[in-house]
Amino acid sequence: MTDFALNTAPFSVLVTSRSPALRAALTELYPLSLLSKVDANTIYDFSLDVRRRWAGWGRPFHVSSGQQHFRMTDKAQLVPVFEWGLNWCIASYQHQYLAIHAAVLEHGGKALILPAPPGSGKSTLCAVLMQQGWRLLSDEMCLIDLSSGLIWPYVRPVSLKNQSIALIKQWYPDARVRQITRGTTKGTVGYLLPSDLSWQAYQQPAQPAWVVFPQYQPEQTELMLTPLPKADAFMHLAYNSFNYNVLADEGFTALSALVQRCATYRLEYADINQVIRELNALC
Amino acid sequence: MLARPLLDFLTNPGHFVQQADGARWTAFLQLARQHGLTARCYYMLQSQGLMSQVPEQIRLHGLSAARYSKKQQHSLFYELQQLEAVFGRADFPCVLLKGAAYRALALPMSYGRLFADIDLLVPKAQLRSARDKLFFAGFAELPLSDYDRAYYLTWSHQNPPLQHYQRGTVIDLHHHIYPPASAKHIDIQVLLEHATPLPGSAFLVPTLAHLFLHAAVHLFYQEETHRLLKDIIDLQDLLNEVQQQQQLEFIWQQAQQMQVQSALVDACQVLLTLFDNQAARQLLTQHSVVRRQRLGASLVLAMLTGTGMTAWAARQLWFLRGHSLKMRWHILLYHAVAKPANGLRQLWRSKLKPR
Repeated sequence: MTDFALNTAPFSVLVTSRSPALRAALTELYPLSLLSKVDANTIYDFSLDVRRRWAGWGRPFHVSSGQQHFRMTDKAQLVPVFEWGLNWCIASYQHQYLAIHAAVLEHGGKALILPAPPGSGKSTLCAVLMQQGWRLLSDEMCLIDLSSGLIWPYVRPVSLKNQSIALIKQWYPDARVRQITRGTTKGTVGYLLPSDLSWQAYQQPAQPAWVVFPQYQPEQTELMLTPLPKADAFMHLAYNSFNYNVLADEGFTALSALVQRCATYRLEYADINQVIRELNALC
Repeated sequence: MLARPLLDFLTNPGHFVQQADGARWTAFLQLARQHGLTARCYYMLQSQGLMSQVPEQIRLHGLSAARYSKKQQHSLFYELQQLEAVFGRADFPCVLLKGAAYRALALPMSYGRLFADIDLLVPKAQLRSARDKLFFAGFAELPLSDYDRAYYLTWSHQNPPLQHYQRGTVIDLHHHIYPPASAKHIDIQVLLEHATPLPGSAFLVPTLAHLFLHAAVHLFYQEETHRLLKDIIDLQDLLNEVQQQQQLEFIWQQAQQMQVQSALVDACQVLLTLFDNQAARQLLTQHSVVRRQRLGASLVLAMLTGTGMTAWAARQLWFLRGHSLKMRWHILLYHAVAKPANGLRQLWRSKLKPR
């Protein structure tokens, strides 16, 4: 049994693992300084267990949080299932922040929020902007402080799926994509390592400045960046939120304040170079 | 048992807060989430004035859970408001049970208490009428095989769960608090007779004594263990309320009438041992003829505080005991044969029968 801790911020996790391979794989994805032995004086926010249990041939690993079952998996898919398990803990139990399903990047102290449902090209866009020098706060979860309105980073490897893995490698040959796993429930999954800049500032919040709803439209020739009315932006953000409905009036107040202080747009694009040009001009 | 850090917190939060190191708090967080007790612990810390001594990280996780439980309570009130119209015109009583009743009575224990469904009790003769009314309000039974449905209606104490077609809310509509197919014959007439209307509402609520007895029956006359801690902390808070409302004599007398003294004594023995509950002590010294610990209480205590083999053995015995109470052996045997036989018949009908 190898127990170790992953000291990401703002949430850390204590991992009880029956798989030495998992720990080894995570050293490829996270800085070594964040992976440590378990310290009895530290409070870990979440606990994840990776145990061996029989559940049909070929799926011997049971990922759970205590007795709360998450998923059974084989050895080959342990890394993505672990990453999803961690996301699951956070999405279920953290209501300290207003959490929106969105990628967040920072440039000049100001944050760009890219909220979108899966399939809209959010992660790819996020990866591209990070490679262009933006600081990554998160590719998955925008954590809004309920009192200050600041956005807290939750730096983790960027999860790329299917074609976007090849695209990123093609556009940025030096991009570090690790732990590529085929045949998961989401297809092929790979993890792009956050830039050094992103890791260095992994506990540094940013002021929200722009909200852009991206939509990849392959048949589109010209990029369209359309200002979006604030009320519409509010509703779309609420719809993309993990816990807007839990936070009630606090959620409403925080989201209203966010929308009021941000410029809000809808972005329809096909060519990534146009997006880079447009966003660099805008921000 | 594994839940030890959480049990230690619940029995003496002040002591726990002073002693806990990082590892204990980490285990506490994990267990509290698992048992759905994080928000409850948060309010305990608040009401006992301990919050300033708690690490900020723990306070924030508690606050997070408290927000979630508040949202649940809003949803509960919303649902009850929708149901007012349904039962307002009914010519039979509809009694709130468990979490819904605790909340409607605004008991301190209802703060931070999570629940999965709304429990309602109607007289058996009106079960069908209540179900029909709920159907027209948008609540329908979840898909169920004919066999399982017949099982619910014939042997259990409730209708199959009813779910709202849009909001997803689940109602457990009961006609009794315990399966009539069991060897125990619990008389719930007194519970219905003593239930009082909530001011300004169509619903009734049982007395605190009956709420306690229901919770005790629920815990001690069954075989499950996953909600053990939550059930015990409910009992502890309820008994303190019963004492404050001076219903200790009443509860003993009602337990006799309902024939559930054994559950009351079991509960009191557990609460006395774990929490040194004075109301439990008073009831036991004044009334109990049995001085030794009962089996039910011993098993619960062994499951909670025993280690390794003791806790394991207690769980196995608890399972056997619970099953034998809930279902008489000849009925169990009948279902053990009838259910697979029915499955085979279904398979024959759907797959093998020539068309």
